[in-house]
Amino acid sequence: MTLLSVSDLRVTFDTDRGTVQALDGVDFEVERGETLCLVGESGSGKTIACESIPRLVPTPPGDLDGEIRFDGRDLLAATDAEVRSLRGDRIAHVFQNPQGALDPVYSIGEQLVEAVQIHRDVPTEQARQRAIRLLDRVGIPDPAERIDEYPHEFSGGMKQRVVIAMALATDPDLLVADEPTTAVDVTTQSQILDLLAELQDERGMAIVFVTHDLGVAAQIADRVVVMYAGEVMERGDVYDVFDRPAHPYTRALLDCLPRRDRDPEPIEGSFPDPTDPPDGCRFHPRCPHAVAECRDGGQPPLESVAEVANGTAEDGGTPEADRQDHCASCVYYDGDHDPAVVADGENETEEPEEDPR
Amino acid sequence: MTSDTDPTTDGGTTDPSAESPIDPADETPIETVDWDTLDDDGWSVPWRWLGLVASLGVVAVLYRRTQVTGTDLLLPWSPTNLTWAFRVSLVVLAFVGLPPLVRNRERTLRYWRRFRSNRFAVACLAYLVAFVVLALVGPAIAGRPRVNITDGFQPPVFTQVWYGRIATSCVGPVVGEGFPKHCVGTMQYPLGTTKLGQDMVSLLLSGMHVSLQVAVVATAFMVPIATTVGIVSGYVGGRVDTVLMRYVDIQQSVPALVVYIILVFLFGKSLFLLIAVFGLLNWGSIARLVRSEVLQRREEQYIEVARSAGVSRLTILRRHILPNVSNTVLVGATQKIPQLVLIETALTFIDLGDIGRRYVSFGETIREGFRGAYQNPPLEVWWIWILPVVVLATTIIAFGVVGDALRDVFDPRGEL
Repeated sequence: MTLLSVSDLRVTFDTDRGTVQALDGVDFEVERGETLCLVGESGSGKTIACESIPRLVPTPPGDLDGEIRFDGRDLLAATDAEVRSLRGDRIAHVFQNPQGALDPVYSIGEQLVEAVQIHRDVPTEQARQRAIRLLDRVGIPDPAERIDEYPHEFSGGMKQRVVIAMALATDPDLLVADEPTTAVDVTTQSQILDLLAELQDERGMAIVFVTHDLGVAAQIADRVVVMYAGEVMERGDVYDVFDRPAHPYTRALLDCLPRRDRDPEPIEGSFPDPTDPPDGCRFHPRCPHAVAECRDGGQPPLESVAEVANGTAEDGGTPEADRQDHCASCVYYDGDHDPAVVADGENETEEPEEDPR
Repeated sequence: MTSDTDPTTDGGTTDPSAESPIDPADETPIETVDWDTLDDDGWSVPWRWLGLVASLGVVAVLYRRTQVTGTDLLLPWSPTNLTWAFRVSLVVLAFVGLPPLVRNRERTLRYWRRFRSNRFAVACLAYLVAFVVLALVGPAIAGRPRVNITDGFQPPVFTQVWYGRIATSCVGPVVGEGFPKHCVGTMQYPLGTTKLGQDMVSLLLSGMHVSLQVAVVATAFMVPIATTVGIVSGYVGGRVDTVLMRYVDIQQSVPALVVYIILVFLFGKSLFLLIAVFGLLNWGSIARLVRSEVLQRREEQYIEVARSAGVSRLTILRRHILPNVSNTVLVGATQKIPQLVLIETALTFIDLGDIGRRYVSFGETIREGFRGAYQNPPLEVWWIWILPVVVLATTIIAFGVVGDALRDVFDPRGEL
């Protein structure tokens, strides 16, 4: 059974400047043992999406609507106490900034013991033994001694390891990692990504990983959800999305990456005002392929791009069944347009324009 | 501060290996724990609360006994309401303050090691401990300062006053020939006596007891109220915050002195009334300080981490907000409590305090030194007012120094 399925999730915030539609009908699913990456620019709703899962979004001013099924249970319909008993126990969170994630007045041992004892009625000594093993596992040297040290005695990367150890305290089924490597340096980043991957193999937990770094997503994800302005633009297997990006936004994001053979191309225009998003496709004001149909109505439905991919791609790297998952929210895939315009746009139209420079 | 770290963890020698990148392949997986098979610890006995309730019960029994028999176990006279409030406050403070220190001895030792590095604060703490012990035990042993007209204005030991003009009789030797003669102080009254021949030692002990009562009773009810209001206001926010803070505004605008004077006319002077009025009208500023600190702390990421780990709101308040704002509470309290002690002394000095009780306040003694009236100006009988002023000032300075040092000690970020 699917571990987590989010369907038609809508999150709005009442603010002084009007209602902000932070998420507007977001769907994704996570299987056990799988890593799902939410990628997108700042403000695209990735963090809100993952904080909505265990209902960490403050309500009010927020308002959650839709369905979040975790292991068969609808979390949006559950009581506060039920959701709280899942938090940390079966759904664990790792946040972006490890500097502030640990309470400065307690030693890390006390915090780990607390994390265990919130959900498990075990004696402190037993919880402490487990804390030491967890620290050892996440790569803290001399865990039996360092367990009594305070957060300020740890470096940023070490703190993030401690935070991961805390998240693992009760063997969660789902780890929600909200940009866990953004605030640490590159070498630490790859160590932490490796650690997460191993821990996932070891215990078969699912990971929802939020990042704006496509390189990180390519390294860790099984499947990818590309978000923009509170909408899912494209989702699919990591190889499909990165090798054959179907949505112009995904393509534009990939073009922002620096590469050896050419300069990165920033996306033209600016991010839409969250209180007054554009009609039609959220991305159309910045989209090079926008046509009249893009400009009105709502966000186009997610259409499968599998047939298109079948027709054009020859590498055969992904089984056809998985490729059915590859969807994009773009009018070019509704059957009336030629998807080749956006799917192959990079090689045929954009590159020649760049060359004369 | 290498001396502060345990020699086993303090090793520059072991660090190179710690700094090298960890090879995750070497790590053994953590075994999956079958949580259900673990022994259930059952519910743990809340010794602290049981102890608090039991001790309060003992105080209640004592109270009942005193009501019935008219005599008190600890005091040779029958205690006032304030004395009972003082006893209850002592019990409450003991059970709030001591168990965490006893339960976590390692942490207490670490606090002590850090506190020890501030020599001046250690001296101040020693003074305060002596003050508390003397104030608690002293009056019970020395009893109420006794009037002994024939021994009026005896000077402290080794000093002398004008015999005949200031001291009309002299316990010690009278020195000098002809006029003027001088009366020399003796060990019978080591700190001298007042006009009525009350021993300054017992007057000082008595004054210390009054100051301690003010400090303890005021702390026991101001600090909990202020902390609770501040934390609730800051953490819950919204309408609750508005209501509480408007109330504090109103309370701050009430002049405590005027209220006190009006109530004195209605109910008569009493130290209990004084503490109640000034205590209840003065906690607002502490609550405000605490609230602003909570507003900052609640946005900290570790609060969100705790929330994401399934910690309930109440536990977050108690375990994560409260310890992080305790510095502010400490700073606020160490400012307010000495202030109340000074207010008490000042009001008693201008005869608005409770006079003629078992315990003589510093204010009363200081006034005694100034109203010698004819033939004995204050400078001639300096010991009567200088000694209480010195004790009072030293106490208040010591309080401030220890408060600051504790603030530093409780903040682990300061440990470098």
